[in-house]
Formats: sequence, C-alpha cells, structure tokens
Amino acid sequence: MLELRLAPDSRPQQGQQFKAAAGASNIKTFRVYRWDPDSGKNPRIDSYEIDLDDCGPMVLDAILKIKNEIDPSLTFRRSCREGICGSCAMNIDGTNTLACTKPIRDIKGDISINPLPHLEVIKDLVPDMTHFYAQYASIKPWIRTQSVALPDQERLQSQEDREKLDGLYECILCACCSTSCPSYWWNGDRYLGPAILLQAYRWLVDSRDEDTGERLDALDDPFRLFRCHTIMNCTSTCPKGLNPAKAIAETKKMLLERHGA
Amino acid sequence: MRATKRPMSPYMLGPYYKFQITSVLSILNRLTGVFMSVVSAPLLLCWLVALASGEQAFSGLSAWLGSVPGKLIIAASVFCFSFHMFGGIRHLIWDAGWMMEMSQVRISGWLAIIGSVVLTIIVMGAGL
Repeated sequence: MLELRLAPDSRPQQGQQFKAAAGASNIKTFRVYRWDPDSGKNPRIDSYEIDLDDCGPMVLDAILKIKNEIDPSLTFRRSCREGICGSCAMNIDGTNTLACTKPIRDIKGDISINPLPHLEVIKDLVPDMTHFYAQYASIKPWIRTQSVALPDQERLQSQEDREKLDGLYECILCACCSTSCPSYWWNGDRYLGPAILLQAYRWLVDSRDEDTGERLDALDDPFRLFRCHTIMNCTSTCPKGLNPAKAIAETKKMLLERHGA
Repeated sequence: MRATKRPMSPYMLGPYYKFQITSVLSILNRLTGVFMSVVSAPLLLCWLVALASGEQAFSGLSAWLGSVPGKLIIAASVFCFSFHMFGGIRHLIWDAGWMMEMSQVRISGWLAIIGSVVLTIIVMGAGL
C-alpha cells in the first residue's frame, strides 16, 4: 500500500546533543536514530560530535566510539567489520550501505544514520528482519535435484557454468537493496524484493539445480516478481557492487521464454 | 500495517532516502504519464470535438491554444510525451536485459532528460 508519511508515533523527534571534548579540532557530527522500546516515547535523533583525529576511518568506527565512550546504550548489529557479514547494514547519509565499509571522509557535512528503511524497529539501529528471512526461506535457497546422486562423485560443474554464478554468490543478504526499493516499501508483504530475487536467480542459473521449472512457477506472480518496476535503486545502493535489477530482468526473460511469447 | 507498537523506520524519498537519477526518473516517468492522461489526451479530444463541431468552435479553440497558457500546456504535453517515450525506450532496452550497469543507467537517464528537452524545443520551434 502506498504510504507517503510515517505514522505519528513513528516520527523521529529532536533528541540529545553530545558535544565533543574541549580541544578537539577535527569534529564531525553524527545524527543517529534512537528508539528505546521501554520508553513509550517516539524515536529521536541524537547528535554526537566526534573528534575524527581520535577515531577510525569508517562509519562503524564512529558508531563503536559512540557506544564505547559516550553512550553505551546505543544498539546496533555488527560483526565482521570488513563487509562480509552484512550485519551493520543501515541508512547512512540517505542511502543504504554497510557502516564498516563506508569511509567517513566520503560524506560531506553532518552524517545521518538511520535503521534500514521501512522496517519495524526493535531498538535504535536494529530493525526486525523476520519477514525478509521468511521470504528468503520461501524461495528454498538450496540445491534441489531430481536425479540420484552418484555415490562416488560430487555434482560437478564446468568452469563456464560456475562463472554464471559470479555477481550472484557474493550477495551477503544485508538487505540494503531491498530496503532501498520503493516497491518493496509499499508491497513488501507480497513482493519478494531485489535481494531475495537475486538469490532466486542464483539458483535458477545454477547448472546443478534441477528444479528450474518449479522455481519459475513460484515466481510467476504479479507481486512476488513483477512488482519490480526497474527503478534500480537496488543496484545503485548495493555495497558489494552487485546488480539485483539485472538478475530480476534475466528472471523475467526466463519466464517470457517459457511462456513462448 | 504495523502489527506491533514498534515504530516504522523512516524511508521517505527526499528527507530520509536520497533522490537519485534512478528514483527521480522513475517517478518522472509516472508523472508524465499521468499528465498525458489527465491533461494532454482530454485536450486532444476537445480539439477533435471542436474540429467536428464546425468552424466557429474550432477557430475559438485554436485561438486559445495560440495564447500563452495554451502554448504552455502544449509545450508541457510535448515534453511529457517525449520524456515518456524515451523512458519507454529505456524500459524496453532493460526488459531485453541490456544497459543495466549503473554507468549505463546514468548515461541513458541523462540522454532521456536532454533528449526530451531538445525534442520539446524542436517541436515548439517548428510549430511557432
């Protein structure tokens, strides 16, 4: 459903301001979304002044500094700090990316940090990903075969067939793309969104998978696949440089070929 | 619809999600389509009705279309038609799976903008 505004109780309000220590020279302001489920209040935007001369280079370094030195209640997900786990996906400076691979110096002016867009917030920068993961499970993201496996051999794949998975297997399911997509904001209950559709395509083109027909059946739906209107916010924002929009276009082509247009 | 008391994270294009050539041109493609349906097509219909009703009605409408507001509406219609056409061509190309790298998307997007402005100028210049 098309929504253009947040409900009144979801609108962020002006929060606290934390000044940098006296003597700091290289100050950057981080405006961070906060919501405490126990407070019963609206979300708020807290401002933290950070001395960049005493901080690591990435946005995640600044967030960790805030948690370690200013406000230990700040809540967010992070793990690998090198762009491979996808935990620290958030909306930074108006686009979705990974805090750990986003250099602070790339952003001019104050840095706004919000949770991934159009998800329910559990606390601060932690959104509820339950629906996203359920959608991932719905495409059955594992190899599905009809033939009986040989007892003495793995299912082999030629180098050419393996290359078809390049640009697909690198996806870390951080959800940056799906939550950048206006179609997903408004029809995410039924539209699978770019991340899950890229994963679906990853199995469609895997030469070892033998369930292509059923996979296409499951996608042949006005909402699950065809709510993609090729806006391309997904490809524009992917922190891994992948192209979900292209994977979706190829999936649409596969369906068209099967229908025998 | 939210099932819990949890707030919805902010998402609105503009204040919370940056406008980019991707989303802006997508919205513009829709708006130009709406403009043609709501303004341009009914205007064309009025023009045809006036043409069928006789000389007096036709010359009246023609005179209004020659005035400044009339010309502005025609120029806007020509722009919307041009932009929607270039947008449609982009979508056709994308549906074939081509030109989907971000660098290509940006180039084709700017070409659509520049092309529709140029086409509007040419058409309006030829009609004056």
